[in-house]
Amino acid sequence: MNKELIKNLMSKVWMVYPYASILAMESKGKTYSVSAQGIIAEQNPYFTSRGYVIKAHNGKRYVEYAFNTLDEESISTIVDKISKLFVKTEDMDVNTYPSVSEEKMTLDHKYSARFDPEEYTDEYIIDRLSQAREVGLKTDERILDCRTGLSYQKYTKYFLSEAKELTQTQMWTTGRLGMLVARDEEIKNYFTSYSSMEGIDVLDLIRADVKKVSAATLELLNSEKITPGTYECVCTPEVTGMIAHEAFGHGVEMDMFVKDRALAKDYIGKQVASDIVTMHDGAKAYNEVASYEFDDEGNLATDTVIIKNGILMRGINDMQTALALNDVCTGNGRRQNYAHKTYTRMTNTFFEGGNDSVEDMIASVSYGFLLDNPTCGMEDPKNWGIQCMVNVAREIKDGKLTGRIFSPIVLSGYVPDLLKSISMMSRTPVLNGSGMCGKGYKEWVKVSDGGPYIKARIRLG
Amino acid sequence: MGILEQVQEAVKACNIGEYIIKDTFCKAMELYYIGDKLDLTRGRNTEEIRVTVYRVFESDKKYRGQTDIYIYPGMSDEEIRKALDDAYSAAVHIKNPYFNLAGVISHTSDKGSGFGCRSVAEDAKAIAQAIYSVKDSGEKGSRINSCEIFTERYTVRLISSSGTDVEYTHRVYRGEFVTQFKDDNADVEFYNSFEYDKPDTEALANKVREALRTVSDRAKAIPAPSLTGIPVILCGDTVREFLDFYVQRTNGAMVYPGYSTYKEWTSVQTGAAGDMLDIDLIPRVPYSDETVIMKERALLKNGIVKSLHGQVRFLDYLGLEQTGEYTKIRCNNEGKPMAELTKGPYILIKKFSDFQMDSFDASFGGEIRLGYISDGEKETIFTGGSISGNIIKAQDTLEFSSERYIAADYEGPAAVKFMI
Repeated sequence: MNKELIKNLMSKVWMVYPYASILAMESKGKTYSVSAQGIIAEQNPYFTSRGYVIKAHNGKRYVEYAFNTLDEESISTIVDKISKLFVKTEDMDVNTYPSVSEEKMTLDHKYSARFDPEEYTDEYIIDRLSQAREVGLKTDERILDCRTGLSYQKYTKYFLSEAKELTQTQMWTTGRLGMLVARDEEIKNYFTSYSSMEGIDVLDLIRADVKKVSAATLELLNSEKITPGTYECVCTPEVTGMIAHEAFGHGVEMDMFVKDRALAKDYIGKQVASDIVTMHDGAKAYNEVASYEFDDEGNLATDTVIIKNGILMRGINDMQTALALNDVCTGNGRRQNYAHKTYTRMTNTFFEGGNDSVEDMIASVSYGFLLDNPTCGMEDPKNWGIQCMVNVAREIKDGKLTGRIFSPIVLSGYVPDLLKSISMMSRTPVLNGSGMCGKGYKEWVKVSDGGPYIKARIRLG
Repeated sequence: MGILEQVQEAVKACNIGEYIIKDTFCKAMELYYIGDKLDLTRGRNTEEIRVTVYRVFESDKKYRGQTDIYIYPGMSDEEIRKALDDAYSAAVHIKNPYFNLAGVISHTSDKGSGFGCRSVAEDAKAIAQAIYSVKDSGEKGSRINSCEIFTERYTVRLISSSGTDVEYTHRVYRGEFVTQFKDDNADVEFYNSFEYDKPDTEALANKVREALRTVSDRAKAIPAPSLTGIPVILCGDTVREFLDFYVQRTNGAMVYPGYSTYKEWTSVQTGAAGDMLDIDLIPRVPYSDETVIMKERALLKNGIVKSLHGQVRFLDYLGLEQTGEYTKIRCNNEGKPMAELTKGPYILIKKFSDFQMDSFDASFGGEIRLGYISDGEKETIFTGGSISGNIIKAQDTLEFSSERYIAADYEGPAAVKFMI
């Protein structure tokens, strides 16, 4: 990354615009997969990119210009392109924003992982994944396939404005283990996933879970269709995390407040959950895949307490949202990469732990389900609706697991009803960062979510 | 020397005998609106090169490893050579059974999606105009809450070690808009997305019109009643997602490992009742990334599989003609008018929170944001609840509409009815 060239470019941009900043990103990510489809080991386009984005303010509004060719010859062209973005839209009805005011700051942070994937050969990683797969296939002849995988991303971001010069290097690793079994034309699929900030230690976790995943996959051969209804449910930390993220987290992304798209705006300071619930989001709230020092707009990362003892305290924002709402920045302005706009995005989102044991939680259910293996979810900040799907619901009757399995399961309902019904929480939150979060169906960023086991009343279908 | 030339020199210097280089330029304009005011403007001008490196080797048998790396402007010759060297070294550990690469494309052509010399900025403004000019729909109180517009022009050049050197231009017009209905009693919204390969402002305006009309219905919706035992009708984009089951189950990536049992001539429906599927695969670009010439192909005719499709490796393993990879389908089933489909009891689902079709276990479903339920006489608007079903059970009861729907990845009936 040629910082002198970047500074030279920005010196020309600052001559024209009262405020301008640049984010330079270099990121490399790789995905490995071993399955009956074969072996994959290649750079992943979602995690690999290199380029720049300039955000400029002309005294009235912002534009952005994303590019990845930068040399001395292209500097004047880049300045001209920014100017044209203002000119081409000056006949349109626009929202105006003040120029951001920044305090002077420098930062240079490098993260290092104990087991950095780049210090291991592709052969080593492929061999470890292949070995775990072989063990998985041998657990039962009914296993159609065992699929193992690992992904990682290492990135460097450099943010420069007239006040700030910030650099950070970060890395995350995730792992996957899934098995398939056939029930006539239906292929049943159970999987687990892992995330680590220490690198390829996820390979140990994959190997350790092979028998457990095999057993869970085979259980799906006897899965039934659930009778829709509202039930007492105990949720594993992964499901708790999905609820925290999908059902509530998206609803407090304050760019939705600006657009009048979030019910949460009217509930700040009000009870939205049971009083045993406290929820956080932040790149500094937990050390997980979405941890960083500064966001993609140069704002320092924070730990935001969103819900405290059931009361909605505040949401999270990006820079333009904070300007629109006259709010402090929470450091949640994130881009998929330099070629994408900043949106308000979650980072590490989780419920704090409580005081109950998992055994007591299950024993307290007269009829209900243990929900496990979340698959996907969709936000509804406007109406606080829940849509999440889980792969497995295990029947609980008179405080005991009966062995009956239901799959797949749709969770629906009204978010505050669910959160206010949380009556028990286990002690230790567990987070997982194996997935990606979209804003709608695009703008994919890495996030983690989690919490303890929770007991709540949930509508299932 | 441009980055492409740097890569070509480096590939020779690293003695990589087999490769495909995909050089993609993207020029784009993005407009972000809150209400009807422009909130942010973005321009984009990028180049990305993907190099697929192949390596044939033998140990116990013959293998061909392959791996992708990405190269960007500004990378030094040393960086590029190291990346290629590392990729070539890694490929010897990717022990996939040997397969034949696609043949050479001997002609050069530029079958761009054209549309003259209009700039991406002009296109973006035209799309914005199409969205915001719809004022004749919906109840008072229906409006566009916000909108994002992306107009993109891609110029792609594919160069292979075997002699292919082709280029094409591809335009994409995509985005999203949120329709909102607000009055003294209600405040509801719908999220809508769009994507076209040409600036189909008429189709987009129709989509906006429909979205403005239906969002006010959400305000009138009652909580979902019982939804079991009644025929279900899916609409619009959901029809494409529903039919994606057949696109996935006929993909070589599912067939080769045994996840799917479909073969050419497999009868996927029993024919006992309902419409027999007639689906074609439609290319969106003239060449696949593996240098296969793309063309229209029959996927299913009369419920029978006509083609498997997918990556070169899988189709070669299956001993089949190379097809390239497809994302667009055309469903040719002619169907009956909606007025006939909606005779008798039905649940018509206009909007899901997120409809999911699982091509592995054949299940589908999702939570309902807007639905219409009829007992055969009276229609009631509802929201909430969910449906879940299995397409293998539903596929022998399909009835398509004669009304059509168009999107970047779909042309075909606007609705499909079936029993869960």
